[in-house]
Amino acid sequence: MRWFLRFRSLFHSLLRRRQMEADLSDELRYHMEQEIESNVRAGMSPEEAKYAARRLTGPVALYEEECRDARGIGMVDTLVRDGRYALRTFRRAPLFTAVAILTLALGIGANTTVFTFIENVLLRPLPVRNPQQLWALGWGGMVNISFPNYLDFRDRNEVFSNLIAYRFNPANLSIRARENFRVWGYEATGNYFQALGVKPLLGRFFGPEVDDKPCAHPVVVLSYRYWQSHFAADSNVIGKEIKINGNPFTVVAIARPGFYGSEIIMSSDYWVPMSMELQIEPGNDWLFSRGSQEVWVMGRLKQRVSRAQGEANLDTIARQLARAYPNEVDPKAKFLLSRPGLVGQGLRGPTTGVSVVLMTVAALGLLLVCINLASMLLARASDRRREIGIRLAVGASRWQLLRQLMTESLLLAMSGGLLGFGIAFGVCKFFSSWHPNFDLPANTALEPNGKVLIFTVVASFCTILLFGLVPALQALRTDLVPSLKNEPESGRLRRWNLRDVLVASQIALSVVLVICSVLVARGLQKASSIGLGFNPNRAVSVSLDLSLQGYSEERSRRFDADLLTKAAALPGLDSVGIISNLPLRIGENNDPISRADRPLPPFSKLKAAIVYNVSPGYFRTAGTKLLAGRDINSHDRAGSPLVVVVNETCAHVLFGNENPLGKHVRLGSQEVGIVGIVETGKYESLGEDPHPAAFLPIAQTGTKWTTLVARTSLPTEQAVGLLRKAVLALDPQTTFFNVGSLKDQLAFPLFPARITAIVLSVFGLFAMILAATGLFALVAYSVSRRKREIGIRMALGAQQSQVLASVLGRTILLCVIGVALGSALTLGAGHLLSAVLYGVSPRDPVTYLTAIMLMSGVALLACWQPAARSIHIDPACTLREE
Amino acid sequence: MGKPTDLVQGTLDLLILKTISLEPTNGWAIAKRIAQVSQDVLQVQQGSLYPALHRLEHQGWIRADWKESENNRRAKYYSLTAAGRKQLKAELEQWRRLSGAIGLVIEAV
Repeated sequence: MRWFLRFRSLFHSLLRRRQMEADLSDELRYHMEQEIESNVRAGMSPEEAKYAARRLTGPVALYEEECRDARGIGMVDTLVRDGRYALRTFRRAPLFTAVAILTLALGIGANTTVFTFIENVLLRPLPVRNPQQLWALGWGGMVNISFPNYLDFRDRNEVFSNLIAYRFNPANLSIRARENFRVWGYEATGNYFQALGVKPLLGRFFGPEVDDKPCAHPVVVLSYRYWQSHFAADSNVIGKEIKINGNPFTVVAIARPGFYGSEIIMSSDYWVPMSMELQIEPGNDWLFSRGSQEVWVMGRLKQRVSRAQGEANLDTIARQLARAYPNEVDPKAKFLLSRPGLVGQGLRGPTTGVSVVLMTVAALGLLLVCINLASMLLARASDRRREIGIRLAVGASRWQLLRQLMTESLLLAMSGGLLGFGIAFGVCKFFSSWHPNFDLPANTALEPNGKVLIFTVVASFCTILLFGLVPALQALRTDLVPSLKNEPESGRLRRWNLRDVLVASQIALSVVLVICSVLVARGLQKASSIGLGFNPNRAVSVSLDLSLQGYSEERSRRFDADLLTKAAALPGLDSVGIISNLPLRIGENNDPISRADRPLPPFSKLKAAIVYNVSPGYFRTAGTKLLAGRDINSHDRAGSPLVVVVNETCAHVLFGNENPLGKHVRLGSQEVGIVGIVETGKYESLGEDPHPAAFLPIAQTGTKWTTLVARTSLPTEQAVGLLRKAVLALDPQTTFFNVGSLKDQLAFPLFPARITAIVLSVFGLFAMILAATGLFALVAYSVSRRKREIGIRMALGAQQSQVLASVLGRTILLCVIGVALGSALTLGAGHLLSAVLYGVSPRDPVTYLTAIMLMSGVALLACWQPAARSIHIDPACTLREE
Repeated sequence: MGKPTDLVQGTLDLLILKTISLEPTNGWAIAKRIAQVSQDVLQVQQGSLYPALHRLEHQGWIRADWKESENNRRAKYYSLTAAGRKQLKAELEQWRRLSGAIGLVIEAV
């Protein structure tokens, strides 16, 4: 209370500062006048009275000051004065100030961004009740467990109060006829919501009753977001019927806004009982198969049960299961409980690893920023020796000077921190608004919160201690007399010191990063011209999953044939074709392939081919070159001899130099005849080695997925619209995914390279700025310490070039060492990048040359200002001043 | 006039609080009253009086209002707040205890 009163009083005084000052002097003047008056009344002459009063009262200005102090304003005044003085100092050195704030902002911004990521993904618990009791099960290094095994663990364990199973899946959701959407959501056991302890916004969640028998409880819970976006937040939706994959489901509840499900990285659209599995994944019946590892399991440990006890209990049950089902259960697999939310240990391990690396890099970056700043401040401190000497001489206490210098550091750090938080906020905002064109509802929201803000503030204050304290203490050690007499500082300049080593290693580091980022960027540039095996320009595609609509193989084969006829007749499309799944997307099938005219090789020697199902015309449409034989045509249909087109690599691997056309191969469980050979492309990743691939006609095999590809010169939107219309005319229930031009869809396989390029160039730029500030500080420091020496040299007739050489000689040596070291490092370790370098050698000379030129340019720029200062030193001036 | 008696800080506060407890008083009058009542033994200097007044005001024990003085000039009049009244009582008690104790010690044979 007392503190509050004082604070209020201080606040009032500050607010009405002018009034307060006027009152103060009025009050003291009144006192003086009363004094004079009473003196006059006592019989003095007016003159005398005035003098007597003056003598008695003393220094009024001092009293005023003391009154201000009594009100607590004094402290504020000092702060403001120190702050003003600091601002004036900054204005005198705008370049230094800008560099200091900018590098600090970058360093603090990088740290804040990484911390936001860690806080959001690793530290923030799931949005459920008592999340600290929840553990995700990992078994033998896997996160998937088969459903029958889950049931046994659920019923036999003694350590979990609840054990839930769930799985993430796509589905077709129809709200009304012709309103069909592809959605992603959870199949969950009946105890899911109860175990997580979440409450619905509307309606009632399904409970354990849904587990009793398969396909008997067609109910669905919608996410808040989906309900908002697709049902216009209509509360009458509870009890209504919607269709999922063509089957009726009743909406029973809407989840609360913050509840996105039981995994952090995905945000779910819906939840259905796991017993409805057959309707969500038609034709994929794993509910009763102990061998299919399909569900993720999470449990709530009972009170006072440790994690180790939990694991031990599960291991015991696992051993019993392994005895009962020796073919399906591995007796050696051990359980591992980990924090939930990142697919058990599946993503948590890698995420933690990446976070540690990022945090370390960011912290090291900030440390380097501070070291550079400290050396710049040291350089300034020796420039300011005279000023500090004078201030000491006129009576400033060392404490006052320290306070002044630390105020400057504080202002720098605060501006840097503020700007850094802004940068981090911007990056997070950008990341949150980024919706990658993947067929998965990734949860990319990154929100800086209070914890992040505290982190930023703490980080900013740490930087003050790192960069401000040492130079300030150094400045305070200024000896009064020599600094006023302008004698040089005692102590000799060491030939090499830590600062040189740091600057050289910063240059080396930035050379490494610059070379790497240029390499990756060039790789990206070349990526579209390497042998993709198809031509991504001027082509579009849409994908559909007919199995979700319960199509039989026969029916989907007929659908594909009709679709092809219909699409081929569309105006504006040069050609169309169907493939099960475009190369370079996830979901490829690998099947063993071998020559039919030779005995089946042992399993370990068996080659595998990636298998695609294609329609006639696909190769022409995709731009895949046919090297020999024929394309698949309309005569290859059910009943006619089974045929296959293989790629060159496959032909070579199986037949060497023999002509493979007309030969038969065993592919999976069937025997097929080779009719054509196409060029080898990229199938799983852009960096892969040539891989065998086989293309079977869809008319003979049918497909799970259908991707309709069209070559066209129409704009993407328009072409995609035509394809959609053709599909919907055949079945209005269909939903689409991976829609767009083939070029856009390359974003997915190129994602690792893009991310690498972005991260490398950001770090590269950062490292370059650091190296530049380091160099700048080094040269500035050496120039200001050698001012006197340079002055003498010039007075004795040294040329400007000689002075420059003496100032820059060492710096140039440092640069050369740094660049050489960086290039050597990259030459040695560049192969580590080969996975994201497409068609570019990790030793590409042009890249090295570019990077070295760039670095030299930056070094030159950084040295320019302080070096120019050295040659503009006027010998007469310096010598007179010193 | 001899060297004014130095006042311990706490004592000055007590004197000021006591003086203005009777009626709102301005700074000059406070100094005069203290001198007058103490028969010129206690001379409160301007340099200690005003900082003390401002400190007491800052602490919320006294309040200041601008009023017309007897000779029709504007002056700042100080009066006790409720908290100040409580503080005065506490300080008086403290002072009595202390001076009583000191009296006992120095009067003892």
